[in-house]
Amino acid sequence: MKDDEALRLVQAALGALGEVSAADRNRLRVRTTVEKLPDAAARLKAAGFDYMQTIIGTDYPATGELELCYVVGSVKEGMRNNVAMVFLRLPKERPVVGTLKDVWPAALLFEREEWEMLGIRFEGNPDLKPLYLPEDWNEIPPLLKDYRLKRWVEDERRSHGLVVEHVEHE
Amino acid sequence: MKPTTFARGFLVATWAGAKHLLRRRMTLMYPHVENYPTQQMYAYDPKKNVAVSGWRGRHYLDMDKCTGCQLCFIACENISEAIEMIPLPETDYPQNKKKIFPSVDYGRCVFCGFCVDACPFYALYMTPNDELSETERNDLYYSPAELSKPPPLFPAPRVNMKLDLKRGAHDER
Amino acid sequence: MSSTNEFAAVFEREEPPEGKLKVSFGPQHPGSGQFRIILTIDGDIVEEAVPDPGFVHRGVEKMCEYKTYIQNIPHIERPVIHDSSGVLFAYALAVERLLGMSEKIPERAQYIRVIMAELNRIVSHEYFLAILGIFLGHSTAFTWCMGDREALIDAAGALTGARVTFSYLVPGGVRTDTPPGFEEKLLKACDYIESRIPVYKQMMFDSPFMKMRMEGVGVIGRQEAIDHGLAGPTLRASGVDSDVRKDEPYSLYDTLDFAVPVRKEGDIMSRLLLHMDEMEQSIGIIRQAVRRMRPGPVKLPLRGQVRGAVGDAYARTEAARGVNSYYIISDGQIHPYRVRINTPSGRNLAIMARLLTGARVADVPILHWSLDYWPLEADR
Repeated sequence: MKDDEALRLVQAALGALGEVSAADRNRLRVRTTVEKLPDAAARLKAAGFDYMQTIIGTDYPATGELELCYVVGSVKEGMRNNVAMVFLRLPKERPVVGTLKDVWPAALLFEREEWEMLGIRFEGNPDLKPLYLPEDWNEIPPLLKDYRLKRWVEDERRSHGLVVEHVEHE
Repeated sequence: MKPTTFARGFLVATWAGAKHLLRRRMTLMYPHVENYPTQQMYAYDPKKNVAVSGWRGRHYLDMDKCTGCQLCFIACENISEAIEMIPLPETDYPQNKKKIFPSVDYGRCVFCGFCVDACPFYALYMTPNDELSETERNDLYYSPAELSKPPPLFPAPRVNMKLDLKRGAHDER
Repeated sequence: MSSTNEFAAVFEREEPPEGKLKVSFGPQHPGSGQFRIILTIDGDIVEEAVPDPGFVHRGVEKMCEYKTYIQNIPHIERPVIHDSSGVLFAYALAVERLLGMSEKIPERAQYIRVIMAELNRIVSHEYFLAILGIFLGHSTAFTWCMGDREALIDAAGALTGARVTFSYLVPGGVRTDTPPGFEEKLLKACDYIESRIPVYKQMMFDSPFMKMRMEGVGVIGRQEAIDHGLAGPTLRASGVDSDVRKDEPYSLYDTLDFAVPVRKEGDIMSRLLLHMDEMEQSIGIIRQAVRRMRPGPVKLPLRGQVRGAVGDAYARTEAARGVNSYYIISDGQIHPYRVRINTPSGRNLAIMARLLTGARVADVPILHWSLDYWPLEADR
């Protein structure tokens, strides 16, 4: 489906539930909010976007917000080139959003990963348990920008007596 | 499953395996004979901005060309941090005013070759020699002087893999 | 955040129900990378399966935020060494979208990229068949597939200079032009692999014992596969002909002539046969690309540090195991602001618990491997 067709389709499906734009080729961007997300997701699925690709979480410490992006594709004939990306922002003090496991069952696993990596709580997801991180992980979620990787590396090296004089080149 | 189907499938599978008894095998007596896909050096041409195909093994440093610009060090910095610049005050190369040269720790190097791509002065190459195993970790550390030696020649002949549709894969002897 | 130790305690100490047995399947290297499944067993039937990935998690997404766009390349391909060109293809496309040079990539570079991606697909599928042989107790399949894979690795080594970690596809093109004699070597390897595929079929799939093990086991339905977001051969073996190479043709795939093999059954056997079909198609693609390749530049000149424009880019490709996608956010620095890597293995994990429940213990290894689940790729 061409970009403008897909744009009209999604605009008609969502109505006031989200702002839709088609900036990049084959990529539809939908901006929505936490309250409107469950309805918007259900309508997107009804419009043909039934094939969940991934969930992307990003930390923006400058504005104190977390961004979530649900990437959804389609296996419907004629719509397969289109990817819908549903963006929404969460305040960092209370990163809570409803689960989409009933709309796209694949979201279960991705939500679990975002919960672990960014500390976003998906209400209604029964499976929020550590997935990839070690079981004794007791620091902040690692994909937050506050988590400094370099410091960890240096501590680790110091504990092994491997610290050498290091020249900064930036 | 019908007994005839069962027997047929079983015989076909056995026959497919039995045919291989007659094929020549690609088995090399390793330390005596080695298989290398290519014996070229991996090099980079900064004028054309493209690398020349070759095997990415141990580095070769041309000390007559190295200017001590540290670009290879910067390229390696976040990849494996294997390259370190070593001051050699007693050397006297006119192009290298700072008198620093790269050294490589092969305990860390991942042989990606991006240091070679970073060198703008045709000073760094990678040779086909990747047999760098040592009994001590410190021996994996190659100083600039060691890097600038040409790679050792092995007594073992190097062979290429040859493919034959009838006889299978074998070496070219 | 709740304490994670709580979870560990539940995992390790919870007593199984009366008469059942709790088994930790893994996490040693069972042929495919460190991975564990907690099985609750009644007799030899699996009652409950809890996949526990994460033993080879290396935080590639976080590491990417500290490295430049070029320095990321060796780290990104490390988790997926059998398909290193396949994963780097998507990364290169995403960075090119970010730099606004997707349209300017030289044609020869695109052909070489297609060749390398398809070559890696065959190499990866050969590896799949080899390890499946091990899991089935069919060691002939292992030795044959591993040995024949060497023919293609040899050709790729002459071009890229490494056996598996090629680091070959870079933003802007490919790193080297083809050396003399590469095309003949590659085509010969393709002929050889093509001549071997029927032999594999005779050996592995005509054998009645293999049929008994694999036919009708681990069936995934069409709708179930879509809902769980499965990818690659696992999805296509369930009757969905979704392939990014056709759906959203990137590089030169819209000019090349190939088919997307699909099978309806959705069992282990169909997933295996699908791998064979894909290998045949990939050989066809390589032959076309070699025939059409013309001399020319292979790389755009990228001087100095690659610096993305402010913005984001999402690119996806069909790697050997399925849809591989990268989402890169750039804030104009030399390091990306955020890189999200979405791998097919990580997605196929979604159905593993469902698939293993009710299976026999002897089928657990092949069920796990038939999903194209590569723990290193899933953990990243």
